[in-house]
Amino acid sequence: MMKTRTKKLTTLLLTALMTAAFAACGNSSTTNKQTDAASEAASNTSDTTDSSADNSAEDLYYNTEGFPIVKEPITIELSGITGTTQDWQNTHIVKKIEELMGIRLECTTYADSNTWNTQFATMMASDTLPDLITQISVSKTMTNEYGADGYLLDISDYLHLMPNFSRFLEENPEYAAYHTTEDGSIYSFDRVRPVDLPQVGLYVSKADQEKYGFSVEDIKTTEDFYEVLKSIKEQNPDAIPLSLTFDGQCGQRGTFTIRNAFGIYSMDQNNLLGVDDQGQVILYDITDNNKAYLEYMNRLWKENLLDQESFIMSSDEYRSKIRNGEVVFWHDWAYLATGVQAEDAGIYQEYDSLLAMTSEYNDTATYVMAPPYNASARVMVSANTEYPEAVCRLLDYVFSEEGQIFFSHGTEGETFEYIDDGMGNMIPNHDNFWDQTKYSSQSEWLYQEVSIGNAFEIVIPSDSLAIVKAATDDELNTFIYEDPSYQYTADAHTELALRKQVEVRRYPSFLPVPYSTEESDALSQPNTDMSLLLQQYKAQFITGKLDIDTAWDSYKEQINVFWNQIQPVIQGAYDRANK
Amino acid sequence: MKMTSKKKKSLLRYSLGDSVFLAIVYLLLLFSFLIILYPILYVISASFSDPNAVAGGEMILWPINPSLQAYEYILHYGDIWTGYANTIFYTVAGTLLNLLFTLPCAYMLSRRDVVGRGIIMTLFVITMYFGGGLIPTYLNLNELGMINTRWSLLLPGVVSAYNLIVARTFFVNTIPWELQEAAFLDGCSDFRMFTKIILPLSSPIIVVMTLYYGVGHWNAYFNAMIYIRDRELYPLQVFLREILTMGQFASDAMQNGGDLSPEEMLALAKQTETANMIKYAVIVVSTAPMLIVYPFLQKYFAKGVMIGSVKG
Repeated sequence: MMKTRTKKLTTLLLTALMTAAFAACGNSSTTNKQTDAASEAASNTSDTTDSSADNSAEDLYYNTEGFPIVKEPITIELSGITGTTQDWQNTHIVKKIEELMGIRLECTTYADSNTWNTQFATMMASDTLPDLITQISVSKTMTNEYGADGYLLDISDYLHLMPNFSRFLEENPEYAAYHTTEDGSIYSFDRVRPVDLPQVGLYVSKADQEKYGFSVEDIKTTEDFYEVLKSIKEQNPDAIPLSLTFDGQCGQRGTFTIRNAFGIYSMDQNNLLGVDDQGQVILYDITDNNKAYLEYMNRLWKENLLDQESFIMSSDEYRSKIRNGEVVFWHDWAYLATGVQAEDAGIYQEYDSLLAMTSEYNDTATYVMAPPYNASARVMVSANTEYPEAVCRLLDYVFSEEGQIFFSHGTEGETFEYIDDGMGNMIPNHDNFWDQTKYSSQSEWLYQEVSIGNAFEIVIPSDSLAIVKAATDDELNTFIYEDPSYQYTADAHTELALRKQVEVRRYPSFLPVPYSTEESDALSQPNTDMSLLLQQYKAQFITGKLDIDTAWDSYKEQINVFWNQIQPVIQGAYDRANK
Repeated sequence: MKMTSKKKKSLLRYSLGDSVFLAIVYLLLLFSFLIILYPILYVISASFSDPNAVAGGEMILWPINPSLQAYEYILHYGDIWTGYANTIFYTVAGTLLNLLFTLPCAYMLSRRDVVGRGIIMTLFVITMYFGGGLIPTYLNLNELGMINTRWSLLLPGVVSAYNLIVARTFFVNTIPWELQEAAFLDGCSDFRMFTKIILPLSSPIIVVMTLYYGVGHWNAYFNAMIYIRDRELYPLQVFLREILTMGQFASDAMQNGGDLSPEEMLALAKQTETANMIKYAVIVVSTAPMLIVYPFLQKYFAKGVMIGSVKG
């Protein structure tokens, strides 16, 4: 008995000792480091502001304008995702940055976002974040939280060194609003893309149009589309008239074309947010428009006009069907699905796009425009960086015209040259520079040897878009069929198709809004639950497992349980962002 | 004698029930065998097949458009061979370290004359159920200066509590205490006892431990993914995972293609194609050594796998 009691006492004592030891070691050092990081960042900021004001230019390690950025070479750590076997360290961009700017980028890359995100978390915990953090999958809310906790640099303190970025913010107030916190801090920025042209929806080959005796230009309404699909099936029972995928798989954008026709202006799969004329945030999923859309899709499903594997096939299986010619109407990046290389530019001779349609719910052909920026962070700077000024000046270059060309194409005379595109425009061209013995295409060479993925391609150039929009119809045909550089082919194809429509409306999709931590927490669970429910109901309505008419009210009731919690939060954030 | 055994054999008759039972058992075994064999055959066939046919679900069992393209690509894919060399190093060095620490520890805990072995064993068992988690472990290794070094893959987990228990049970049940007592009486020291008496009698458990630890090292990728940043130190499984995620990264990026230019899309498409082409071949190449080595160790493994169980 004594022995048993001794054992028990010893066990208790050891447990208490271990608990005390961990409690003493763990939190305090982490908290201290966090506090140190925050105070260091704060003192860096005040030192910088003070130094630039009080000290002479000779005392600074950097130059306030021009190249090189730094007076003595420095090393900056950069991390991101390659998703390839690309070696950033040996790319033209990295070498040129060192040569021109005096900044040596020490690159560490990861194969996928899961690995990078895990590393990011461990680096934050151990205060070993690299100076430049790119391509991280972190929401804007979390980024702002990390910034407020002292992990990330407040870029707004260095705007006096960033004229290009400052100008960009003035010219793009929505972008500025999204990326700026309530207290005026900027902790990250994301990619900006030109959105003057919408993404067209479904593709169909010219050969199939001839075979089945129809033309896409004659399809103006959803009923026209239904009749064409029906006719295809009657002529060839083995054909799949329309193939789409749902919920995050490749091909889901094909649904946008049909949804737009019913007045549903969203580019999401579920939780279809929009804004009505009164500025109220609405959920299209519970509107009569969506009911009509689901009834239409159910009709296609019942009559075997819609691919019966739409809910279950993988992206590879989908592309395989397209390549094998089993499908008539489909959506994907055309040159991927059909295996045609861009250099051939033949794809747009072989295929047409199904244009925006109308229905009884929408009498104007409408395209939903993608948001000009993503709802996540792409580039961040560590608060612990020794060279915040140099890093910010480097990032500022990204927002200059020269910088956009540099990060996309490299250096003139070394990786590209300007050539006349045949239309009087001088455009970058790589024909005389890429290694044809080592790479099968220019694109591959560009991505293996010149650029560093899209780590720094924050602003996607829009010059080609402006040229396309200003071109005549004849010029557009030249771009499609005779463009030697393939610069304008895709955009010209879309623009020409749009011009064939008499009246076209471009409707902006719901722009991402920044949420505070509390708002994000309040939205997280109801959003997830509502999304799952919507996904489930959508599949059941389209496949006919549930009758839409009898189950619609019950469906709306269930969704409203969540939507009534979500709507006020999103409305608040939306009103704040649009003030 | 032979006549007798022949007579004995001829006397053995299975009843109808026994025959039915045996037939069912053999059928179930055949079924299980086919279920286990099919994935292996599929992977081997896929490694020789057209990647588009495999990705499109057209290949069921036999290769379609067979070629050695994938293996040719792998031969020139330098990272694979770097990974191979590293994996072999980690497996050999890691297993040796594991045995170096596990076996003496297990022997010590099996000795009935060691004071406090119960408490020590309890502490080991606690670590089987509770751990610090990813971040504290990372911080720990960071403080010890092991991040981005080979030690981060060799030292953490150098003693597995489960294997320790198995080995300890073996020593308790298989090595008679009387033998050890007799050796002590003859003046044998503890180290001499372990090296000259215990180890020579422990070949089954050594083989079992070698296999368990060796396979663990061979398949390990998570620790390398977290603690290693230098590609020259990556084991093979990390490169294999990279190839698999490379294709997935490209697929996911193409699904969200609104963010990418045609050049990026094409580069990603090429990447997906390459990943699809080589991933099955890399699986074959990476599992081949274990498949080759195992038959030679099987008799020891069969003998030793139950050896750590508690005997009555």
